[in-house]
Amino acid sequence: MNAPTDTLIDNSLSGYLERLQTCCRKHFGSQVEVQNLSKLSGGASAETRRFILSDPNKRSSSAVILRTSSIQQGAEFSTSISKDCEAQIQKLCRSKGVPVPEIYFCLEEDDQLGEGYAMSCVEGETIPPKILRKDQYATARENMTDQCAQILANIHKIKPNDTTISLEDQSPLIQLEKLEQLYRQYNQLSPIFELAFKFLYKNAPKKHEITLVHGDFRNGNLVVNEQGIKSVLDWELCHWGDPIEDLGWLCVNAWCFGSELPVGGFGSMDALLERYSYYSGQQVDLEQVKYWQLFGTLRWGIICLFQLNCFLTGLNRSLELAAIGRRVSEVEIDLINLMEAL
Amino acid sequence: MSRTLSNPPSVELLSAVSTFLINDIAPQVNGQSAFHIKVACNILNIVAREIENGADLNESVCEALSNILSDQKTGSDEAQDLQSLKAELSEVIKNDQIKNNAELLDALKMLTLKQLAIDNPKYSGYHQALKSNER
Repeated sequence: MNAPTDTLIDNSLSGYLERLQTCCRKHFGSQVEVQNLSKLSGGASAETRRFILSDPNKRSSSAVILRTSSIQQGAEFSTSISKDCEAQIQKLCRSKGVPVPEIYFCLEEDDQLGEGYAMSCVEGETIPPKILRKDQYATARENMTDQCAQILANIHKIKPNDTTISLEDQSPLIQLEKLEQLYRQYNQLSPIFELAFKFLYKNAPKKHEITLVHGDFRNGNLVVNEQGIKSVLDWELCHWGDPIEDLGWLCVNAWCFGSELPVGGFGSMDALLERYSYYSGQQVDLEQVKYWQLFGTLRWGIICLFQLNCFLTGLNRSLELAAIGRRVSEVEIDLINLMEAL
Repeated sequence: MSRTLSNPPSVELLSAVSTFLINDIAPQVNGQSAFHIKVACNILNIVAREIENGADLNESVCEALSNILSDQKTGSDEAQDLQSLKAELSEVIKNDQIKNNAELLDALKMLTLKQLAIDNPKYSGYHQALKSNER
């Protein structure tokens, strides 16, 4: 989803602001003040708030993002890692040169603010149609394929042995089985989805590297300014797996917003592969990327079915979810176009 | 063709609501609500296209699916609705009973194009598929 987020004054919890202020003073000193607290988004898995932390002594103020686990009861498509784990992964990636917001602190139980962490607020654009169409991002678009390749290569240099952080191991077959299980629950059978499952089971990579995988690396989770990518967001789906999964997901047509360029709507696949091989020192097979592109497209299709199901069962009657069921045919034509070219 | 039970025709009623949302409401809101007005108008457009072409779509897709099924395997020839035809064909694919994969993909492509003509004829993948058909 790429709905613009509103700045809504958050008053859902009484005393929230006071507790947040107490917490910030614990980390930054008794002089700091929390101002302009607003809720940016609330989903099934996470809530994001923004505030200004001002320090009258230093005459400085900076924008801070607070990400916490959702207190909403609701269905979730994928199992997200804990917020503590998310913070640790971001710290690790930052130390390896990946552009991610700086983690300031993790919430503790006696803060009474839930589970989560505070991080720097990186200013920039995240809405793909704006990034893809506005003149001010023309230079950014030229740089983004190279930047994606470099960022992904750096993420993928992190191996299970490099850290004590515990993440799920998600090989392609494990993921496929989970996806199929979900798909069959929704009772919206599609012969085209079946064909894609068949192909993906049959052609699953038998041997692959196991590295850190971001899991949701796409146009929409990239903070962009005039020069290009400033920061990578939304680490809650990261796992150990085949690194090429991230490359394929980045090339799913749903993130291209009408552009013919398959890499997030801003780059060619040849350029992505060439730059990724350069930064990672690994030769990447085009077939492998296409495998994961088809995988990602099917995954997006099943996310659409999941959201359709949330609408049909009355769990969420929002306008966006009402419309998303009709996007299944978009996914079907994407799957056909990809399977024809295999 | 849409059947008009009364005037104005339903498609024109929907168009009046869209016009109202875009001309009168959209300029007064911003952020999330402005985005939702776009979503709402998209939904009204889907409904309008479905009123005009939905019956044809349903009929031709059911017929095509029945043909695919009788080509691919021997089975019952009873008339079925769209959902059960899709379910039956899905089962055939799942059980590896497909005789000609390329033919099946071609037929499914035709059906999907018809569905997209209602759901979102502006979609990039729709135009890509139409272009590849011309070649």
